[in-house]
Amino acid sequence: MEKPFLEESFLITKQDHINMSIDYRRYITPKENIIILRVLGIIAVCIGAAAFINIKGGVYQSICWIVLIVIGFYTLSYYDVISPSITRKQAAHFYDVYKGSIHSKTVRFFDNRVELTSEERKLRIPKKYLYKIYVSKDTVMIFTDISEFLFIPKRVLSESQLTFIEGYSEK
Amino acid sequence: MPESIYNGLIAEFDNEIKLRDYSEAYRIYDLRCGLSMGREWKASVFFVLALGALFVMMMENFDLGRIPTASIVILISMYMCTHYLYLLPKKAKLKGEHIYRSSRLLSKPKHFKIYRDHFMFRNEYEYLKRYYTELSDCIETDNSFVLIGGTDHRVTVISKSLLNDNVIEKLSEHFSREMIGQYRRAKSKRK
Repeated sequence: MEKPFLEESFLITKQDHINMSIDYRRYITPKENIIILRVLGIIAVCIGAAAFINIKGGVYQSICWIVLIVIGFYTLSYYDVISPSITRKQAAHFYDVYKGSIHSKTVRFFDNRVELTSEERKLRIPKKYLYKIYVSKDTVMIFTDISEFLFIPKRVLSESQLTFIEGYSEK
Repeated sequence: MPESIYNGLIAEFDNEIKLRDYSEAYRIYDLRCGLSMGREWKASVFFVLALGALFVMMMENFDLGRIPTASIVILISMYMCTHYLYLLPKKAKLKGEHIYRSSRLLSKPKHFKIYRDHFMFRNEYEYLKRYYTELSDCIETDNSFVLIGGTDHRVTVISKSLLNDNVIEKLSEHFSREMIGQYRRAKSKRK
């Protein structure tokens, strides 16, 4: 029987699922979007603050400038604070709904294929069929196409295993 | 207890999905659980905003110089209505095509087995077993059955083009009976 280069068995915990969701959100968000939103946020805050201090208008006008400052802060902090917080809540809810169907998984890396085995799913993907392997902050994502992926929490992998996976697709 | 009553095999068939089937299924998935979810409500909010801005403009005798904000609100609202009602579904369909093209597994033929409380499919590379209780939606269109759900929120498509009428009827009746809350029949927008 062929011996895998790497074999690891793990169970996805709620925290793993939350980390994966946040990492995936980061992965699919284009960097340009983050930069554009930050620049727009800074502009809105600066215009709002400058107008609030310098332009003497009525109460109605002052409220408009305060609203502009609030929108600016919202835009500025969207990708760093608001979006991860929403994703965290959605992922926790999703895990609670589906936790009965989440079983332990075993992943094996062979010379020419990756195998994933769980109670409800078995995958045997030839290495040439892998779309991408992406190592994020807390998760290793093995993509089979642009949106579907298997994931391994980084906590179950040692440093040497992680290095192996990072270099797997280039070998 | 006899097997047929407990959890008998309802149907067994080979199936293969094409690009058009998958992109259409992905559009349906996006409408039910993706970014296009509730798009009519979101578009309605912007429509009401546009009406409100139009009303303000009417009060000012359409003097755009005096009320530039109202014109901007109308323009943004019109764009958002178009975005939700027209652009998003188109974008979802294109994303479906992109996913299909980027995957080497989706186009592979599969052997399906449909049981009373679950279905499974198998091919050279993949085996999946999914209980109906894990599914969030089962949509039947003119061209396919779209099964959405599970821990990976996967879209499983059964194309009708490769099935005979007898099997289609059997599946339609079975899914509508076993997935009462999740089953919908939708008209396909294939052009």
